[in-house]
Amino acid sequence: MLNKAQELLLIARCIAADDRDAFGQLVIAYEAGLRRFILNLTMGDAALSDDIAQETFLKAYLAIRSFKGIASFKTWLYRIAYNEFITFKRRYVETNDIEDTPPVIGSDTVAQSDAKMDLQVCLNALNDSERTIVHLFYIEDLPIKKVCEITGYPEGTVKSYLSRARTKMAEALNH
Amino acid sequence: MKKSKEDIELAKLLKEQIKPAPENGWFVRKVMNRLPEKSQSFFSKSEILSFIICGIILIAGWCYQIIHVTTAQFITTADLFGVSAMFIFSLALMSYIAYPLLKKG
Repeated sequence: MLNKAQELLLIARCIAADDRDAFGQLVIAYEAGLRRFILNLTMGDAALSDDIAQETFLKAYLAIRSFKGIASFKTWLYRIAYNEFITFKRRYVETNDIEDTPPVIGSDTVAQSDAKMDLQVCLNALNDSERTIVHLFYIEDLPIKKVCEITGYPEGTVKSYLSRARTKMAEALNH
Repeated sequence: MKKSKEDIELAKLLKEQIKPAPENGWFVRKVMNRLPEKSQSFFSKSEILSFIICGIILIAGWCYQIIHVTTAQFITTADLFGVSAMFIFSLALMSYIAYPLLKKG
């Protein structure tokens, strides 16, 4: 895991000298977490997650000069990833002419334990916004402020979604 | 917002149970291959170094000429020749630097 100073140095190298090695190191540092985040958004579609993750890194590379260093690089990257997912979702809904409800985009066929299945079912019971916020708050351990920066929702909305998500997950677990 | 005890337990459960993304040894390679072609700079590092050295020599030359001409009692043909040479040299260097930039524009 990169510390803040290392991260800023790599970003400076990318901006100043178009240093591909430096960007490669950023990709290596963040790819696992980012892919897991997107995998959660796509409800387990690994191929789709990897496509969106690749697009995210590509967009990050093209926009790296606009990174001001105020937010952390992770927050900025995850913001791009979330926007990419929303764009994909919008295109998917338009193309397939369905209501804007979370489609079952895909799921892995890897066998899972009952506990994991229960938790996955709980998460799949949430809508995209709720699932995103649950992942960022609980799994990525981000504070509410950073969750707001990534999703673009105000703090009240994020707290409200969290509360709703907890209720839905409890109901799903009890069924 | 501070996490409650239930939040901490839920977080622990989710982190343990929710699977990571499957291993993909080619992922980084694929990302790097998708990056656009590296932009070519107009000048190589050696050219840039040469420009800097020429620039320093030019500035020193101009300073010498200006001081010499303003302090001398008479302006000789050698002085005129020196100023002309400096002028031509400066123009040539500026054209060499500006030409690729103007061509791109």
